[in-house]
Amino acid sequence: MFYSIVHIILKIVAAVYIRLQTIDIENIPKQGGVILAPNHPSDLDSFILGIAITRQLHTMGKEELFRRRFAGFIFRKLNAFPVKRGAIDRESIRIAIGVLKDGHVIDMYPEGTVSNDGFLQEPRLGTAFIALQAKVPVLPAAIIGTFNVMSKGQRFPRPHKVVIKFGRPLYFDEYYDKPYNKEILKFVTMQIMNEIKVLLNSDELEEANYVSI
Amino acid sequence: MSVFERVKKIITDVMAVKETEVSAETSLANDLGADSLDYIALLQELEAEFNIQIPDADAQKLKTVEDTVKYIERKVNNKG
Repeated sequence: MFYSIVHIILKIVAAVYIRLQTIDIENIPKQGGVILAPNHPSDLDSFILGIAITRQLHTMGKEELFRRRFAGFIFRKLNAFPVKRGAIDRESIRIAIGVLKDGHVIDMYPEGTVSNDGFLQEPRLGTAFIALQAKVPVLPAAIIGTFNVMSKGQRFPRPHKVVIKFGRPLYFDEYYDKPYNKEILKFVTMQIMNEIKVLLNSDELEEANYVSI
Repeated sequence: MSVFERVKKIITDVMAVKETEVSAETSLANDLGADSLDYIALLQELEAEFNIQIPDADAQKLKTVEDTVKYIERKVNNKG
């Protein structure tokens, strides 16, 4: 209920402030666990992704965001759960896998952290690891414009057009139930990153001149 | 198989290294390049192999193969 109310309000705000537009949003499966895996130009990406899609989005948030009781309460109500960055935190991985197995949508960023300059960074393997453990598809996406709305270190968002283009779900069924293998994780990660690159360079975004940086 | 041999087998499998690269003194991070994801996989495998629970916070105690073997032996003995 709380999520739905906030979603409606923010959708109206986003329509005006960032003229949020989506392309191929119908590619998101109507049901079942799925990882949305976009590029990561801004701290606002999860918020904006959550506003853009109709299914409720679950998200990992850095632990520091949950330290203040009220903020933590609000974030949890918005389906966020804490993750300790740079630490061995199996609890957050268990939660993520549980949420996916319960049939929900999570956003995970293969780059692992927000980009300093808005460009794609070297990927990490966490997204692939969770996708294979939860046995769910990964849906790559390209987010354009959030770097201009709020880049790393910026405090307040500025109005700027944001467009999100969704790819098609990638299925990695043949790698489920295999022993931990970094080569497989790297391969899966590269598949996801390649799709994100293709989406970022897609004609639809270029033609519309949605310049992000 | 001894605890050392079982731990060594898990480490060689998870880290995809040869058995000859793993000795008691081998550092998981410095010598084998284990990162946080490797540690997570390692903890999962060790827990399953020895039927124990390893808190995430204890992972930092497992710096070398020997540390890991001693930790596992303590855990297994305490369980019994």
